[in-house]
Amino acid sequence: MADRTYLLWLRKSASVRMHDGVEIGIWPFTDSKGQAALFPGPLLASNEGQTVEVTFKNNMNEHTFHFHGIDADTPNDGVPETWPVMDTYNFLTDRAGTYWYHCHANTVLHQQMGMYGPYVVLPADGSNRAWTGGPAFAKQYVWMLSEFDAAWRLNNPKPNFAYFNPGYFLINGRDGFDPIAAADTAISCNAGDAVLLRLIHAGYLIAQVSLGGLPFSVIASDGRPLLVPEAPQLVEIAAGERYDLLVTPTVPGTYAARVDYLDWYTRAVRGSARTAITVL
Amino acid sequence: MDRRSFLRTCAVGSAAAAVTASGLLTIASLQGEAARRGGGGPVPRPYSLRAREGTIRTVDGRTLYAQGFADDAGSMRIPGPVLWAREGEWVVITLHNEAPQEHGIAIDGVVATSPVPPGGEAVAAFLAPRAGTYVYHDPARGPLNRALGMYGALVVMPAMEPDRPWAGGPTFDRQYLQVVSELDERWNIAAGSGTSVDTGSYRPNYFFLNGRGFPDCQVDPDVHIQGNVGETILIRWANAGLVPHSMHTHGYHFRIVQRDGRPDVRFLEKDNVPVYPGRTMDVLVTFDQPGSYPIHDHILMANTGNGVYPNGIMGMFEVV
Repeated sequence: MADRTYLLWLRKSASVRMHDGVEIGIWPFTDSKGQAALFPGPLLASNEGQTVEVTFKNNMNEHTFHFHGIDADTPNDGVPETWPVMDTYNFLTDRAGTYWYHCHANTVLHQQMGMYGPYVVLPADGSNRAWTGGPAFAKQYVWMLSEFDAAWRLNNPKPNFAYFNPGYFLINGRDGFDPIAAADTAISCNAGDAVLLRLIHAGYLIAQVSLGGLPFSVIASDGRPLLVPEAPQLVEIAAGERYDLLVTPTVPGTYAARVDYLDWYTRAVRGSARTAITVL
Repeated sequence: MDRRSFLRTCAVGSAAAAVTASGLLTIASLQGEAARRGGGGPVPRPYSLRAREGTIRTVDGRTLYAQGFADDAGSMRIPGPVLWAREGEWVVITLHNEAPQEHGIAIDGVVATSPVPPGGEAVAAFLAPRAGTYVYHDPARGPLNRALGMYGALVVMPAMEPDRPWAGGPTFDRQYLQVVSELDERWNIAAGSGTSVDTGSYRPNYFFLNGRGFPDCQVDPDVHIQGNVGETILIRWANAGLVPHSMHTHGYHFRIVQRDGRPDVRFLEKDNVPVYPGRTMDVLVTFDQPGSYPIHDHILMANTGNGVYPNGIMGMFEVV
């Protein structure tokens, strides 16, 4: 019996409304009761040293879970090219930090359809620290970054997945200025609070994240602490990467945070998502 | 001494590089080369490269016009032959242009030739830069020649230590070279038919690890990496393409030890990292569990061959 068990269902007919009212088709996971569809998928979490079992309840032999960064063994790695598709995954979470899960079958499409969610490993005692003996935090937020290409949902013309032309640029599934009003995305804290912001790039373009001028430290990446924290003005994050930012605002106010998504070839900004950090 | 007799001297002083047919650099080959050469003073290391036209066969069986570098023995290859040198050696590359358009060769920050007309030749002579991995490419005609296949990698080893990325750096058991790149078939088709190419628009649709998409690339031992639990290997990622590639390893994290020929002693431990165009990154992987695990680009368009998954940038660890 695993220390943590999770059950996930998939909804293959769902959509999410963009800032301009357009509904974009997605295949979201549900909460662990199989009820509410969630995009991104539910936050899964465990402590260092815990064993975890995740079961895909309505898989129909089509999909997998890859726990990105967990370094599970081959049977539990979720790669159809190396192991037959399964419904139940078992693994150990031995290093605190930020991870994510996504379907690894026809990944180019299934990830674009929203089959992903965040995974957080806490210290062994479950405390609010980035890792055992690491920096403490008062609050934590996860920002999953991604983009939507509406044309990839069409049957006619059939999309060529080499060509990605996104029109929507998201944080936690919302685009444009909408993340400013999202309680799970817009950061609210008291001056002096340490906030841990976990960035996960579940999209395909290079993204640049800035926090409205608030200073921050990059303390970890891909589930491992940095030997020496860094304090850049912005974080450039590529598909699949994670960065853990520690922000301790001291001056009350509202700060305009943004994520700019860059063209693959020209690096021109293709689109942006905005949110806010409110310091009381 | 004029240039010609200088080059003849070089040709007597040394011979072919210690690179196996597959392009795999092995410690044994390096040690063999070191033993063969013995001591002695600095001997320039000569390379002869030929710029040629040819074709590339895609993973879905198409044949596209391409350009590439060849060595004296062979036909055009994409990527071109692996060049290697020891830190501090003189390297002399003679480029013979056997194609009907201008070509050149450059290693950014190290050396660059002027454009060479058809039938001409140029010499790039330079002191091997700091140990590490470098992209060589053809700077002629803007990004076009390079995008058509005119690129490869230069590996510079420490002068004395064939099992370290730089003198005094961490050790590895074996090393592998993975050149990532891509092409936009519109550029190849237009260049092959002699029409002009709009290099302002680049929409790559085939993606390569050492010149092939998955699974074709799996025949390359640098791509299908086989090892034993307990070993530590060095992978040299060289992005010879025009867009970033975000490399992700399953099964193991890696430690970034070197970028663009500079030690990176932060030793960032990651499972996913972008390698930017023209840049390189050398990472150590310690096999702490057995199994089969992909190494792939997480910019998922690049996991396709003309849109078909998983026919792009994907290799594999096979660890027992």
